[in-house]
Amino acid sequence: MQIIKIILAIILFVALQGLLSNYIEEFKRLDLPLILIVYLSLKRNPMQGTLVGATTGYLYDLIAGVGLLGASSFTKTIIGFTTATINVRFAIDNKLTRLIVMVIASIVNVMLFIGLHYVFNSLPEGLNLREIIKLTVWQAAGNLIISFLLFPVFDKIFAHNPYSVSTGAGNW
Amino acid sequence: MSVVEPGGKNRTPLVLVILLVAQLLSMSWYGRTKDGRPNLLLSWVLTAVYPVQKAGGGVGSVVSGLWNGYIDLRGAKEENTKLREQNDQLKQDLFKLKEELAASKRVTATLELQQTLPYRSVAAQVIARSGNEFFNKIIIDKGRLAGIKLHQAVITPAGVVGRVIGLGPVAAQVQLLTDSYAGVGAQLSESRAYGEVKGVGKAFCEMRNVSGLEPVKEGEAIITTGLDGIYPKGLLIGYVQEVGLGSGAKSHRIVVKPAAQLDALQQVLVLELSEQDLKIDETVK
Repeated sequence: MQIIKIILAIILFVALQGLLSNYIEEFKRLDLPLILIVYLSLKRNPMQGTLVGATTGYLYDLIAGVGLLGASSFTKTIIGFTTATINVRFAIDNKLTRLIVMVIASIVNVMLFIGLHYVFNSLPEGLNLREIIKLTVWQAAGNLIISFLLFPVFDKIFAHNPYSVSTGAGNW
Repeated sequence: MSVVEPGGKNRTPLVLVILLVAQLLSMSWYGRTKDGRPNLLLSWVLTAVYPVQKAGGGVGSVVSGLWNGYIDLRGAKEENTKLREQNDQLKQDLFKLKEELAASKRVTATLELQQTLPYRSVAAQVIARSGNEFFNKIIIDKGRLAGIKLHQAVITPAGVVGRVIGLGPVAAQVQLLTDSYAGVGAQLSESRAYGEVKGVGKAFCEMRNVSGLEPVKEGEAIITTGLDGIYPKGLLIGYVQEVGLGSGAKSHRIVVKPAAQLDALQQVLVLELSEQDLKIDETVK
């Protein structure tokens, strides 16, 4: 059941990102799929965090039609893996720290995305440092506000303790 | 899904490395071609998200209206409550009427254009937009089943919008003129000088490769040349907004304001052009 919920949530959030950006300009600077990835990674093991990040990122790459095909997938895979790994070691999944993780993930997301485009010589021509900083701040602040509102909703939707299942921590 | 194999081996690093290498290869390949998205996969993804985006279109208009209404009304707290309620009600009615009128006008203008065009075309509605500031793409609610094909030109009554770069059965992805990777063969309407209009990931485009010796005026119209094999000749692209004058050795730097309002697209026409429509006069070639 959890896996179906996760797949539907991924499709919904990737679709919503494009839909809302069409009506409200500010949403172009946010990253709704990233909020989902951070939340799910904090609730799951590194393997699942990696797979959620890679899948969501690749869907986002395809549907949002961003620059390099695979760039969002790459950044979100790393974020999914890292978040889940750190959580396994330091148990950072509580109401306050997950918001801090969201801010850090947003900053890393923009930096890695821009960095990959720089490495592959595919940066948009008009992009300068000021705009990168502006986008980073916007995304970190916007994702923080949205995740503050969404995380409690996710808690209800994805209410499930993976560690309580007898077959181990790896269950979806 | 188990993370650890029976032998006690952790597979996560291996999966992570495989995924990252695959993504790097994907970027490397796409960075070389800047085109050729995997159309089968894109087709599935467009089909999967289509119901959400199509259904969300109506809701999106309401959310957008409420959001804009909220922004407009933010500074009006001191107003008398009763008057404000009446005012809000009137504004909502007016907004609704204006929206209906504007939607009706847009549809009428698009249909009128469709009837006057010398080419066959498909009218489509914009249902989503690229969720990123630097890469400008939209998703329309018509796809392969409506006869749309890859690389077909997309226009509005005001001017050129872009071209189809991704295709699903019921939806298609359109690259806007302003996208960082977009380019159109272009011609200045008065001097008839040729060049190329390129997107730069912002609200405007740039016209390049126009000799610094050609006269260029601000406000001059820029039209398609038909030389790129995608857009037919004579469609309005935009207007010269600013000119950085060149010289005999240096091209002009021309900033172009797109004629179509690309940040507020609702209805578009996808042109179904035949080879005859795109045939270029040999003397121009």
